Amino acid sequence: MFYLKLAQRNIRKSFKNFAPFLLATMMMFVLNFILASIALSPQLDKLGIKSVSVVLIIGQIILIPFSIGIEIYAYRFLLKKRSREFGLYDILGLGKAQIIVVALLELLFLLLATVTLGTISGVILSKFLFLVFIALIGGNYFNLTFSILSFTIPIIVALVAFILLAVIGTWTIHHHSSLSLLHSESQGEREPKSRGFLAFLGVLLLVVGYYMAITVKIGPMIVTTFAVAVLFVIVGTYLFYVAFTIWYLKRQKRGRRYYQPEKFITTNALLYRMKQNAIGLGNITILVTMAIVTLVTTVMLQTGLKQNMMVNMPFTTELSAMNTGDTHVGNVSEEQFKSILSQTEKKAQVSLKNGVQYVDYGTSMMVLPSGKHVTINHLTDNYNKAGIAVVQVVSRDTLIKLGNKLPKLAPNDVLIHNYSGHFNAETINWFGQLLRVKGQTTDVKNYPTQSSIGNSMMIVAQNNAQAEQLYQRIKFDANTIPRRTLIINLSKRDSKQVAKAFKAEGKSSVLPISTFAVDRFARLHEAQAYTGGFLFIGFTLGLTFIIGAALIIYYKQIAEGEQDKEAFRILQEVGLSKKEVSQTINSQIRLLFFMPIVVAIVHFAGAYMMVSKIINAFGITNKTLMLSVSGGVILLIAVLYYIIYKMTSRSYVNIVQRHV
Amino acid sequence: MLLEVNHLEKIFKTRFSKETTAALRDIDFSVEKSEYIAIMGESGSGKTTLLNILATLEHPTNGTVALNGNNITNIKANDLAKFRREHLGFVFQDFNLLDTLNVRDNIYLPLVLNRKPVQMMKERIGTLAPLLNISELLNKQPFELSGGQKQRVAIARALMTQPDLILGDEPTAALDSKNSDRLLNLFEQINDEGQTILMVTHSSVVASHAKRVLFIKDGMIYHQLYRAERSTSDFNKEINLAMGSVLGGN
Repeated sequence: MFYLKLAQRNIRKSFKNFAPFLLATMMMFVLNFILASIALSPQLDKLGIKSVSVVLIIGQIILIPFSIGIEIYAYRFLLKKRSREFGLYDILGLGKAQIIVVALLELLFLLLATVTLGTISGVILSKFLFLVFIALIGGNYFNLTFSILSFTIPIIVALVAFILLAVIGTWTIHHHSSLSLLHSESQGEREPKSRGFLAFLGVLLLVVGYYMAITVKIGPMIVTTFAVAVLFVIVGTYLFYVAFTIWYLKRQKRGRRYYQPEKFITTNALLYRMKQNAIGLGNITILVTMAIVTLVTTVMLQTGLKQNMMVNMPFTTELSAMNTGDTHVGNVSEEQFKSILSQTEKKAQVSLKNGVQYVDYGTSMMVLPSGKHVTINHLTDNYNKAGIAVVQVVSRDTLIKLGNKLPKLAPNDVLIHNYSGHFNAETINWFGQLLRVKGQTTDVKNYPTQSSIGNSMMIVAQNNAQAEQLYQRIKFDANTIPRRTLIINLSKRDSKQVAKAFKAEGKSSVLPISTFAVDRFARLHEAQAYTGGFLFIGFTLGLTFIIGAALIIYYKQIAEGEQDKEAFRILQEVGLSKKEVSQTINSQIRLLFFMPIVVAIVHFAGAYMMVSKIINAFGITNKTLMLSVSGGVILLIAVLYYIIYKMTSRSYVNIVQRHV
Repeated sequence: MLLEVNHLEKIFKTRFSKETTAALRDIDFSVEKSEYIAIMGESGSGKTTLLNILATLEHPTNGTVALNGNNITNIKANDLAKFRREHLGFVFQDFNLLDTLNVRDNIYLPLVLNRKPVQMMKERIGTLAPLLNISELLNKQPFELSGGQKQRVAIARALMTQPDLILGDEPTAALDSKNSDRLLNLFEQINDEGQTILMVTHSSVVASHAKRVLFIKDGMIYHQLYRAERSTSDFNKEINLAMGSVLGGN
């Protein structure tokens, strides 16, 4: 009972010492909680994005040792501050075993506080982010629910962390004499000996990680590769900071400008705590990188999918009809199509006069050989074949009608348009028909396209008859049945009416004809539900990571402020003015705080290929969009980071500055 | 006259009550160049407050302190630090060395803050290190030193700027008697070379090394003794006597 009271009293009396520790454990709890809630949300399955949940679980696996590491760092700092008190107990005759009991009881209280306060603030924070998101985007696209597991995971992580802390605490108290406990507050770190090796290892891990990230191929191994690359980069980052900081500071010490007040104090203060600094910087860097990657990915998905849709569906409404007769007797005739359209016009009370009509021959998968004179003579559906591409045949007449400017073509002349890939043959043996490639068209507008992951290209034939002929050469592929199509721009209401009427017309027709209608407004709405969910995940995680980084920065500031307090008191007594103190602090903080954001940007550059491949898997290939979204996100995070830096450095200055 | 203290008064107010405590009342004394003065008093006598005011770390409530004829009690807050590092040297009870700097850099610190050339630092440390017997320690870290070594390093740091006045706050308090003796002899030696020293102490042994002792009690100076040609042990006896009669101690 006595120990229980003592432990309770300790926490209450020196709450100033315990608060930062509690803040760190709580913050880690909240991070784990929010990540687990999203990763395990049944909503992810509903969105059909299981792969996202896998990535999030990897994120969780990274976060667990990371959060335990931070808690150990915080606890060791707390122990250092408290060891004087423990030493005093020892001298007063409390005995080490009893001191350990007190320390463990303190930890138990802190664990309880962490779980309770962590759960409460986790729920509040995620609900708050949810509301902010709805206010920003204007719709509820992700139903935030908490499962039992999303509570258990952070609790287990906290439990494991605290057991480790208990071991560390017991060991520290047990293995230190009372006197060293009394004095342990003022001891510097020894410089790691083999820093050349550390530097080498760090850079090696970074290079290998980057290499893996840049050269990764879409396939079943992508997630594993991704995880390993991330692991390498994380370890590499820590080593890099240790080695680089020491190298940089040693170089400063040799430099001519070392004996300038700012450099002199800063360099030594940083060198004094380089391992601690390195880990702090590493943690901040990794969180900032995670925030950038998450936000870029999700914002890209949101804007990219929408943009894709606008490109793929240049017109609001697309009506098409195909012959479903057993023998594929041919296309739906122009007359048949016209009669269906006029029926639709009547029913929907909307004019379709301004629409553009053409025959859509669909797409086929085939292998495109490289070289100047190539033969294409078979179709395939094996996605893993080299050179596989999606090919479509279009009549020049159709493209002209849609407002494209194209050169005149002779019979058997074609134009090639590469959506992606670099097909540049001069002649093509097209299933036995020799075609001459007249040239490449760089820009085709207003033609509805199917986006695809791999290479895709369009062959532009001389005219409708020629296009029909090219199609006939491959028509044994039953999957592509030509559709007579009309595309038109309508208002939202008209589009809906027309689509409905047109579909009904096909069903009621006595002819073997099926009708299809695509209403872009409806499609966009559906997509929004899907990408909105993504965006919410990215928004929440990105913000959580930033909050995590902010709290680490804050923690670092106050922890170091406490440590530097004595040094700055001495400096001010020896003759450093307030102004000079803040100059010194600023130059010290500047290096520490701008390095992580720079390194995080470099990390993101390394992850850029990987991120764009993931996004490509969703059919988003717009490179300029990717660049501008990345730029925007980095800018946003840099601004947030700067605000955090400004706010927290004030707390540091407040701690170290002498109040006369 | 190097230092003139006129009618110095310091009254502390507690934050939430109107009660006031006078730490110093009407302190008057002056110090000539090359003097070695000990200000002696029990704890609570006001000696530390006096030292803090001389060190410009605290402001007096009334009165003036003049160094070389310039009143230092109304130096602007922004210029205080500069004044301290240019005119004063400090030797503290707990040494106040920076853990982050090695011994050499700790000694360089005041000159670095004054933006003096490295050449000057090297020259001065070249004469001070042998004098203080710390040449072997220059590349060590403070935590590797004993208390006596730390205090000698602190003295070297105080002397680096060739200050007008060295202020000592119980400089031997954290030392054993052997190291304490060595340090006090060192102070005498430095003083013989012309350095003005003013320190506060509660120990008659420490005070007996000074050339003049001022006795302070309840914020006032009650008495003073000159050592003249007496040995330290004779002077010590007289100081103890004076403590007994004048201050009514023990």
